[in-house]
Amino acid sequence: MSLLTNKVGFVTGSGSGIGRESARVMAREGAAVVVSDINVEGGKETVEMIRGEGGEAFFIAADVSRESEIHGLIEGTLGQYGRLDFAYNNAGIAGPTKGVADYPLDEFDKVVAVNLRGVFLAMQAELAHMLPLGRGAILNTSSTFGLVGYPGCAAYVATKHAVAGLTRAAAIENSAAGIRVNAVCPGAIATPMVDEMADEISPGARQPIFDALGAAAPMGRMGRPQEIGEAAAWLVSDAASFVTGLTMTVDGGWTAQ
Amino acid sequence: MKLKDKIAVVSGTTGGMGALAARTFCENGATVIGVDLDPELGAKLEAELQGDGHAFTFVRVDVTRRADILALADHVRDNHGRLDVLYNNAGVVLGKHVLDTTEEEWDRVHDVVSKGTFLMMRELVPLMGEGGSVVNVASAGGLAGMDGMAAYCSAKASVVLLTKTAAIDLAPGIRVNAICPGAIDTQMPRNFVATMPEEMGKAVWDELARGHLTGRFGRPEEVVSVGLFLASDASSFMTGAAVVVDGGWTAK
Repeated sequence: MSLLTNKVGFVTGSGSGIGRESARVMAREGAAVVVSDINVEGGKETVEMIRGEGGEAFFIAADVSRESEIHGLIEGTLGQYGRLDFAYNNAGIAGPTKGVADYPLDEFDKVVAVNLRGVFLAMQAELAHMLPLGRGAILNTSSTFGLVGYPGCAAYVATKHAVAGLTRAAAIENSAAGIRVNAVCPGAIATPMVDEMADEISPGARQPIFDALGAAAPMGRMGRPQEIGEAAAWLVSDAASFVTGLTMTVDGGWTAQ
Repeated sequence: MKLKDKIAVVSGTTGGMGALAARTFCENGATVIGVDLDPELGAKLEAELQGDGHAFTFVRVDVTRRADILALADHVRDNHGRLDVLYNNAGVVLGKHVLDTTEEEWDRVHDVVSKGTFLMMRELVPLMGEGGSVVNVASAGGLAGMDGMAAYCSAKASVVLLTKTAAIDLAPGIRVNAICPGAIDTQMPRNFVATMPEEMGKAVWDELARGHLTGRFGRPEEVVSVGLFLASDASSFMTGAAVVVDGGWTAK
């Protein structure tokens, strides 16, 4: 009884971290997965991992901030597997570890381009494909920082809040037409993105940052990317057929406090 | 087999969602102890599930009575040695405006929904080891107000906050999460509208369906699938979450 038998979907930002592990779980659950990332090497590595585990995967490079590349991703998925049942818009960047008062505008624009504009563009293209069919599942990666504030990463917090809002708006607009739209809100997860943030805050000493992030959640540890992947695979599956407009926290209890 | 070798307690086990949860947990490899008020319905469910080869036993428990729950804890300890999953599904519904709700009705709803959930956790969680999972069935009505459901919404809201608080108290070893279903097509809402004049009942039913973005009631299996996910190790970094399964009702 696999969750995603005979389903086809893509995961953006699956060249590493949460995207990679989500793609692996989805493939393990029976889906044919299109791995997409701006990072070609990482994306191909994910495909190799999935194939090594007996799963079905294919790589398509895409910069989600460019409309033409989003369309290329959808066309490429249809070309490779002939259908698109689910889309996981996961690609995101952290941006500099700065507060609102001194956040550089060009950096702010960059984070918005990937985290918000990228998700928006992808959803538009996905809906254009799914609406005529009357079915489909869209999942976005928001964050616990899309639900509560946090200092020192202004654009990240702002764009992840925006993704939560975009998710709810799209759910309201499209659920009656058979399209479910949800977001997963990971807490602090051990990924290369968090490694980079830690390096910026505290060069050469990641561990104290990780310890602090782990201690912030009642479970007392950071999450593993696979633990988001399990939730993601479940949310895009038919097991979640009455779930739409949800921002699902997978955060070790961070936002229960 | 997402619950292979797990020992699970399911309350409200003779109701629509409770019986389906018990069956689904069994089908996923769990040994299930189902509890509810009516021993006849319990025996019927037990015969049915055992007949299908499942490890299910019924124990009569009134979740508002601590003595019953202590006896259940003894039963679980003596027969299974431990508990892995606690699925608090027992509940009652009351459709009354705040000023029409009697003190007795208020107490009854809060006794079953709020106190019952608390007592089950208080007496059964000590049987759980590292990796235990508590799933409390709250309601979308525990997150947003509903017309004429004062006691119900209040009690379900208390389950949501009890879930979050217990998640903090019991971390990191034991996870506690809530499910917040919208209107689900079980006997409970059908009985509920049956108490109304026919036309009003139909209007309420249609209005409930329309309240969901999906334009329909949920099916019991759509709630149980969330329960299975939360009970299983696949949700190992989730605690204190209120997973809304409401066809988008509360996204509005």
